Amino acid sequence: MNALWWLTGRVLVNSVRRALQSPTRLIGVLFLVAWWFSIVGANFFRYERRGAGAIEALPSEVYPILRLVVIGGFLVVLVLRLLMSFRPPGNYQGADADVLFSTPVNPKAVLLHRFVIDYVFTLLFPLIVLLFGGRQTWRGFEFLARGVENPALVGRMALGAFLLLSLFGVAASYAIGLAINRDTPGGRRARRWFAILLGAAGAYLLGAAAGAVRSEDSLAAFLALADSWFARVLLFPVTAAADMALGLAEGRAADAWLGLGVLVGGSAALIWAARRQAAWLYDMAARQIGGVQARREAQQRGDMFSIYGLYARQGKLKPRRPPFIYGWRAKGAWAIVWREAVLQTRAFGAMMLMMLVVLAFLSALPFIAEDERNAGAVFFLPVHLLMVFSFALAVAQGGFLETLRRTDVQKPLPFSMSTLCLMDILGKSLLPAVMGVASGLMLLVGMWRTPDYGLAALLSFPALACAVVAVQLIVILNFPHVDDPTQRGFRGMVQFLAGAIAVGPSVVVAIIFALLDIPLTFAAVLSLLFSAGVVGVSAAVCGPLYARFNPAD
Amino acid sequence: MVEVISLVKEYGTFRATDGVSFTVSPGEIVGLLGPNGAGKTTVLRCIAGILRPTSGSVRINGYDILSHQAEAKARMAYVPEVPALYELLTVREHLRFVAMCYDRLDLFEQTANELLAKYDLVEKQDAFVATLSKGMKQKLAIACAFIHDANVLLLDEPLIGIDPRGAHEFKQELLKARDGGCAILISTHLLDTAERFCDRVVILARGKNIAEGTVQSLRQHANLEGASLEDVFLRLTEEQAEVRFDLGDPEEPPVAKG
Repeated sequence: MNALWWLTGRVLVNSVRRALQSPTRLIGVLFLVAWWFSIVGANFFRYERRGAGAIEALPSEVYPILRLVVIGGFLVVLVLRLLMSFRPPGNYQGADADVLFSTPVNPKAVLLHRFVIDYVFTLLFPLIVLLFGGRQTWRGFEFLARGVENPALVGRMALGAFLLLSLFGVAASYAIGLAINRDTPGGRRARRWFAILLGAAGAYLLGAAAGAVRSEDSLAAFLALADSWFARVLLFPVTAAADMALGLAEGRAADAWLGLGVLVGGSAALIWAARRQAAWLYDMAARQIGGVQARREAQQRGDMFSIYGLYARQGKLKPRRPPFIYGWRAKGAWAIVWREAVLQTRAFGAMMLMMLVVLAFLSALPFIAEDERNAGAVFFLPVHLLMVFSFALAVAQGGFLETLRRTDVQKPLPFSMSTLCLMDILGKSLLPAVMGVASGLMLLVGMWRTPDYGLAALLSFPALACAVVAVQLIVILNFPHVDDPTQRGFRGMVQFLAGAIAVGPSVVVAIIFALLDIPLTFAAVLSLLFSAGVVGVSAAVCGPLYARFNPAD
Repeated sequence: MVEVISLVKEYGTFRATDGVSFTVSPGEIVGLLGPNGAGKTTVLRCIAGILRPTSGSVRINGYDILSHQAEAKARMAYVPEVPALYELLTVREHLRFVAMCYDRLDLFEQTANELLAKYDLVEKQDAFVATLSKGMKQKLAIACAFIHDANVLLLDEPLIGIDPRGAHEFKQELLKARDGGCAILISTHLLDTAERFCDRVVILARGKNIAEGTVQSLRQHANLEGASLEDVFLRLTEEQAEVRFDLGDPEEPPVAKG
């Protein structure tokens, strides 16, 4: 155990030392410190006592609401921890597998070491809230405890409830994680059942919450839900923590102490259960480490294709063959568009479907809200555009990194560099354009009272998506070094800016037309023409840049 | 001593090793050979206690790796193919951490100084591991293997990326360890090195050991008298027979085990 704590200490000290050695990292550290003092620190130190003491006691009718808020907060803490059960407990790196796991250090000691670190990290979250909220947050706590008989004890119990619930959550994620992540038929079965149980509980809770929202007395319905068998049995750690936190203030001392007992006892039992399974820790951690590390590195580079490549190697990504793509007999340079259609569908198809579901929900909101005048249209149009913009940006960022990596395969093809760039842009624009069309159709249906909005979206969104993708190639060819963190950071900023520039004129024209009461469809036609120009110019600019690009530089 | 008995390791539905059995005796260097994906690294990681066998057992110095982990690992060292090391430790700190894990801090300073000198790491001893080249990292991983008094060495492609001088030092160190009674299992693709260096070889293919014995006995079995180990290896792995041959004594004909 000493070796593990020594390692943790040295890594912490050395990371500070290293940060101070490199000028680029030093700038980052100084920026962080300056930011803390200017924003967070200022909020913390400029506390004014204005208004303090205005209310002497908390009205009794507030307690039920407070109880619901506390239960909701504690539920989030517990669910987040339980969701972490789906990966092996603790964070591990390659060195752990290659160096630590083959030493005689007891796996139980390693487990306990990671458990403590995980627990401390869990507690950092409220600390961050406190830092951002500064003294105002603290004032809020003071205000809630005002008028209570023994405020100090109440405060300690509330804090203790959070600490113990976090302990329970971490212990549960360790005990469950070690049981369901085993690479055995039993482990896989347990994982499936745990997922079903969690999903069913979540569905029941959401259904019950929706029912409570629609009932005449929502507060009473929510309170009944909080006191139901479901909450008392399945969410017993949450209700125990809520009882512990508020029991004394509400005059239910016995419940408060019982809650404390349940959390302490439950945590102890779970830690014991986790320790009993420690022998499985190395195996599941070692199996995960390689994939996790490669994924982290790819994420740092914004390299979605590498991540999907990893998924493919793990068998998580199936080679779908959509007939409408396979039926297309592309010729010449159009083969690049066909290749992209295949790759994009595999890599970004699921992401697009998820975003479309969100957009469909947004489009259905006017129906749900029975918005007679379609007043929400003004809100939904930019939201849809933002989603299409984000998707185009994500596809372009990941896709063009792949273009850089595959330079040796693409450049020898018998086409001019500008043609290659144009086809690459068109290929990578396919999915964002499809999303633009889908988004436009949804707006057309969802805002049927104002078809002008939907029609404008249907015309302009696909073209704007293409323009956003096109300008990303210019950016990426100007900052092509994917592993250089400085270029990476700068590229990220410029990519967003370039996208905004590609979309900006269309948005400005749309706003002007809307103000002048000119149908937005005309603005959309202008936007379409402008976007086509952006794509053409981008391809022409990128040709020479791509010709000069050498991956070995 | 290393005893691997009917080792099976499955990743999901994929069986990476399928009933692998062999032993490595004290004072012996055994080469673990096989084409890519044969299961060599999985076997080594199961022996090292990093992966848990699906079935079968591994015994190190008489201790079962699952039921007596600490005892089994106490005198064992493992060098992975591409070692991932703690990047934010310095070279010396890394050695110190490994010594702490084995509870061997008493002779640390002297042993560490010797190893640092032997593997040309003296100048880098206060540098972060993150700043080392690939070869330097490999040397550090090897140095870590010798920081405690190991009598079982598990080496996964240990010579890849090391300069000739470092490789020479390492080989000398291994021979010294073998002569001192150490049991050494070395996975390698360098067949000429295996031929000159290993007392016996175990050949894996598709997760099974298809042949085991001295190089001479393998030649006899493959009817390739006078041929190099490379030729023998190619012949045997091409066959990829479901039959495992145990070629203990070069004078005796191989025994098919079905």
